Amino acid sequence: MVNFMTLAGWAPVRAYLRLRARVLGRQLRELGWWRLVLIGFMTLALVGTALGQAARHPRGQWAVPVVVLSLVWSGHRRRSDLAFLRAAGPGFRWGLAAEYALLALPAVLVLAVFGDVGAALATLVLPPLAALAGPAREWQPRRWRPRSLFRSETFEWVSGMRAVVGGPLWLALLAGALWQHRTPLGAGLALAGWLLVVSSFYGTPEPATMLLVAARSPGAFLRRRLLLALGYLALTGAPFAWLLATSGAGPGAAAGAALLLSLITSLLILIKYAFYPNSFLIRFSQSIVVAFVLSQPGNPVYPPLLAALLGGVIWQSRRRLGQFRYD
Amino acid sequence: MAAFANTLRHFPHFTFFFPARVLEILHLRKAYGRHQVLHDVSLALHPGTVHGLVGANGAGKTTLINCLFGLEADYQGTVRETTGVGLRQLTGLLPYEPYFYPRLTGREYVEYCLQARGRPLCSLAGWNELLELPLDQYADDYSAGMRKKLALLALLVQDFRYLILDEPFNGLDLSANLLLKEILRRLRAAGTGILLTSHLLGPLTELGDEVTVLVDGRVQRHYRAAEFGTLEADLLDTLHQDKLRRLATLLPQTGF
Repeated sequence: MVNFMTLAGWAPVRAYLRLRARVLGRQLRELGWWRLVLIGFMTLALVGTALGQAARHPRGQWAVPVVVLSLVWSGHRRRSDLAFLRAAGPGFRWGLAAEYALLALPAVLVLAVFGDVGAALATLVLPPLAALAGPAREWQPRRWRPRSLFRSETFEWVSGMRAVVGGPLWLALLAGALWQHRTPLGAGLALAGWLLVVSSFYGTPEPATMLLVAARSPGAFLRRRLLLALGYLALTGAPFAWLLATSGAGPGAAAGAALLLSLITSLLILIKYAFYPNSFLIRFSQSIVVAFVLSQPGNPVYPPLLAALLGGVIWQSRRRLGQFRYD
Repeated sequence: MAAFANTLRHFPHFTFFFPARVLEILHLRKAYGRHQVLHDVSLALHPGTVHGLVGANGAGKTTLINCLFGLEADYQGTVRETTGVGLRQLTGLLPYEPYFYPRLTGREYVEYCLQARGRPLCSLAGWNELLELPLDQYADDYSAGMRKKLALLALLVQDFRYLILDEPFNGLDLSANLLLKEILRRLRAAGTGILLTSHLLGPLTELGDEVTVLVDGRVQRHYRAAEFGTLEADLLDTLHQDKLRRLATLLPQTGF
């Protein structure tokens, strides 16, 4: 890597950053100005509030480098272009490191403005280290698996559970909720954690051939995906909801949490098909929505914003799926 | 020069005076967890030759290529170029499914491939007269064959000592197939060493100087060009012995 940098200088790094900026710019432009304003507003509100609160806190400021590193690290390991970059040029990690440093820069600046020099330096230095990590190795399955209705119908859950080792994670969350069952916070946090896990299942668009088979009618296809997802969510989320109901929060709070969880999951699925097959726009929009809903549930702007979003993505997903009809 | 070097490799005593440039794979083993994919695989790729790699799906061809190119790290064995230069500096890879960024034109893709190796930008007009790609359209809107040609273009505009081509004929139409074969012949004549995988025996036996048969992650046999006549029958016998017996009962040979 050092030899390559000596030979070729920073030109490959600059070329890589230009490429990423070009791709990002074009994708954002395709998002449309009103969606861009909406998502931009939500992003700024969310990230700004979280960063401001952390920066003011003497110990909370140190959470910023850790959170930024973990976000960059997990995003890096799931990148689909790592094999291409590795093959394209020997010094690809320098480009990735520079990209991650630039991504962390806003957080660095906020910390610096609040005088948290140590945390700012850590936020600048740590995220580029993610470039050293290899791609996430898929869990190696048995060579033969039995066919089942579950496996063929809910491909998102099957591949998602494998990718994040979902079974043990679900058990761990349940164990945590049981351990803290006397307070509603334990079950509530476990439910929120399970929502984050489930949200990762719907970030990857399936191949278009799978839509061609299923999308005889966009409405019927969407209803089927939503009902299946909500069914499996109900099965996996029921223990957490029961623990929440039997804790101090009561059945009303548990029902409210279940309703919110179903609403967010429905939004995630609709967003996936609204921006299909652009995985960047899908993941970006989904992560903003989940983060916003989880971080600011009491915000007065939240219900009208969510209603507008829901209507928009129902219309857009039906329109997008309509393009894949073959009958 | 390439032909001379190629002849020379059959006379090992001369290698003292003319150290051979060879891309070597020696005793390569690779496992995913408990599943052993490659067992003690050895082969050599000489500049100015075409080496075919044949095997059924799951035989380990793509894993072998990934190890060779350094896309897989945790393998056992040796992968090297005998001059000691890093393999990725000398070698271009055409993957089975090339990756393209969304919303990036074909021209921008090729230009990035040049810049990523610190090479100066060059005109693509000459090569694109042959490949006929709409270089100013987004690459993710290309058909499968055009994508393959675009990834090939990014290799052809660079001067590689070795090329590793994983199913390069896949998705190409007849004229592009014929053209690619001619391009590979000329690259070989110019001294490029080419490792080629294909599910079709035709291109491999037409172009190849040597073919390696991989069965369940093991090298079953290396064939030299003079032995290609028995390759198809041997493969049928190896891969489909049971099915051939069944076929004989379904369609017995009648003697016509």
